[in-house]
Amino acid sequence: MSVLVEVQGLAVAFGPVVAVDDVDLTVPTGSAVALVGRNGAGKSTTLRVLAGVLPPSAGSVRVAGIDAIRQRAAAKARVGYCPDVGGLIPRATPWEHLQLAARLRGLAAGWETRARDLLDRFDLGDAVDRVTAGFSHGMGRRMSVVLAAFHQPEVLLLDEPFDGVDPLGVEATLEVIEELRVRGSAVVVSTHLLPLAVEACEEVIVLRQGRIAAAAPATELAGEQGARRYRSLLS
Amino acid sequence: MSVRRRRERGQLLPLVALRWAMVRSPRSRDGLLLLAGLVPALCAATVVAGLLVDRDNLVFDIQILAPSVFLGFAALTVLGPIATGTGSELFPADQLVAYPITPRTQFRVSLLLAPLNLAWIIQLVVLSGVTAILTGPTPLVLPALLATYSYIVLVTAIGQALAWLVEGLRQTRRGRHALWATAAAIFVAALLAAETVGPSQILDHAPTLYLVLSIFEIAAGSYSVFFADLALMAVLTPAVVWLGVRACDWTVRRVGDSGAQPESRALLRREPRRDALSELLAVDRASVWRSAPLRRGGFVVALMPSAITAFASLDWSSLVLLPALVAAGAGLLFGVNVFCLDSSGALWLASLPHPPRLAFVAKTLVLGEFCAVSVALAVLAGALSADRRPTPTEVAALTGSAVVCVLTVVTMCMRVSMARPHRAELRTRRDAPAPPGTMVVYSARLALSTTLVAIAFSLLALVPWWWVPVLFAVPLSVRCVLGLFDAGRRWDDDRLRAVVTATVAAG
Repeated sequence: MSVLVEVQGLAVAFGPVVAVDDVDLTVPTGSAVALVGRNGAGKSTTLRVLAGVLPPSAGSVRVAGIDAIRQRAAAKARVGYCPDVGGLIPRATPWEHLQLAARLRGLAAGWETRARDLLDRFDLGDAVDRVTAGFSHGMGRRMSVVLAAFHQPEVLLLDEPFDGVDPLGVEATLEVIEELRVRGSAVVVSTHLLPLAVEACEEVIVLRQGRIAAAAPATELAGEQGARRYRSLLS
Repeated sequence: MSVRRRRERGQLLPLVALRWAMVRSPRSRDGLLLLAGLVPALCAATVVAGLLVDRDNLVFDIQILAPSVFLGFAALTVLGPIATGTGSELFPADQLVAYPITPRTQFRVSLLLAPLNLAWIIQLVVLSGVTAILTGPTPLVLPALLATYSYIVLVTAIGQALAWLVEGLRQTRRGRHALWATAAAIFVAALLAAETVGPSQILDHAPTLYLVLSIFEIAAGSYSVFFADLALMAVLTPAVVWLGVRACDWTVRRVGDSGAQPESRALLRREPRRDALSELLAVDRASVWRSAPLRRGGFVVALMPSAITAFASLDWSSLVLLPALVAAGAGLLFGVNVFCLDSSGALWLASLPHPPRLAFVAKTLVLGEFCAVSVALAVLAGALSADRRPTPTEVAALTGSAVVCVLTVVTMCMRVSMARPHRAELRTRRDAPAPPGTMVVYSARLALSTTLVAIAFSLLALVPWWWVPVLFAVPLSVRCVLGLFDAGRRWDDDRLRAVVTATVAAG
């Protein structure tokens, strides 16, 4: 089984503040990994580095076999990223977001069919030509997932995709994760919602103060017992 | 004292203190303090200069012009807040929505921030000087200044009160129609009056004439009119503030349709663009023209000077100065923080595979065309209303001034956008690309640079050789273009880009 995300010794510092410290992460093809932990644990920072929007202070990052630090554009072409905040240009419509992404990614004609299908599944079909500034928080999250997934990336990075999303939206997101995983993509999900992390992923990595505190198969963190173990890992 | 009363009294100072505490950089703090000290110093210097000036040569012209200058201040102070939806805010509305900020505090904040505007500050300095020239070298300049400053306070309060009232009316479709009808009626009446009576006759009968006469009375040692005027303004100012608070209260309570309407409307879908740059340009242009404060600001920056130049029939040497004002104004609308156009979408955009320089070029072009179109409209209106054909040198000087001012503004804006990004939504009419104090510093920097350029071209417009302004424009333009290339190279730096992206996207 080949590895699509390979992170070694990742460190990110913002001046004196160390956000991520010596993180190793491996996500094989066709698998999904969840990053969980308290606020400020380093989950979003790790995903931003993987998405190529934040340069690391140290360490190596390979995405789909490509050095994501040296060959940033090539790595980005293989990634779909849903950021933790907003993620949408406020005065552009969802369709304009898709057109822009398709053009910058150099997608061949036909992407529209997949995009329309995803928009319908995420119940955004009626809002496709409205500016996203008028969207509710949940709609914005759902649209961000659509943008991250519509080009069927080899690596899907979802930062808080379930935050404020209704049950149907959560279901659609879980379906997208599963579909891409089955296609052979690697999925990394950052979330505070442990039950959803367990449902979506095979492995859960607990980050604490920028470091990996524990890594376990998702089944071990399921249920009440798993939740108790998770809480003990947070402090 | 009731809880409500205590709350009202205690809100303004903590808000101002918090805003001040949020100015983290010592350089910014020093700059703002310097600016705060510079304004009274400039007023004092202008007053001294006004007292010492050779009155025989100047005083007649100033006497004629003074009512118009005072009226100009009133027009600016009333129209400015109306155009910007009551002006600056200490904090974006969404950050204070959870707190019980009273209308009284809201109005007092807007009144307090009204002077944080370069045009207001310049007019304050000019009015101080005009008052000193009118009185001449006498200690009686002090009561005359008191009258002038009372007028300034009163007019500023009227501007804010009217702005809140207009903002309330804007909340509904019927109110907006009424406002447009009123604006159209005023415009037509002004045109008719200008045609039938003439602009100079209208200005000669401006109500501010009484204030100027009052200043003369003071200079002559007669205090009766002065005390009457002062008493009137002392009564009117708190009354206007009270009315302003009521207008603010009415506006914030009003349930309107203006906020949600444009954002809930389906837009016409456009065809995909042929390449990545065109696609980025289309999104950036949409971000500008779909933003209410930018649309309105663009209207004010481009069309207001056009209307004034058309009305005032400026001569060609004055027209050469126009691009400086318009380009700086256009740059201030969003150019000083141009990456905020992407707002929370900046992170997503940065994750797409494209050369970073492409996004930089798109932003530069959109800002450049916004400034250029604004300048072109204003210059065109002025040129059409000019009373004679220009000389080739005047055409060259005007073109050179326009090109160099636009390039100067774009270069400065791109640099400052990278150096000091801010989170800004530019969603409501009151949204600005940077905090109020920062905006004053930016406006001073832009206005100073462009005005110096325009003054140089206005002097060159007097020489008999048309190629001299062209020759002057070339190195300045090249310098700006090189500055843009340098800024573009710096944008390639991953760390700098990450900071800008994270700042404008922070939500």
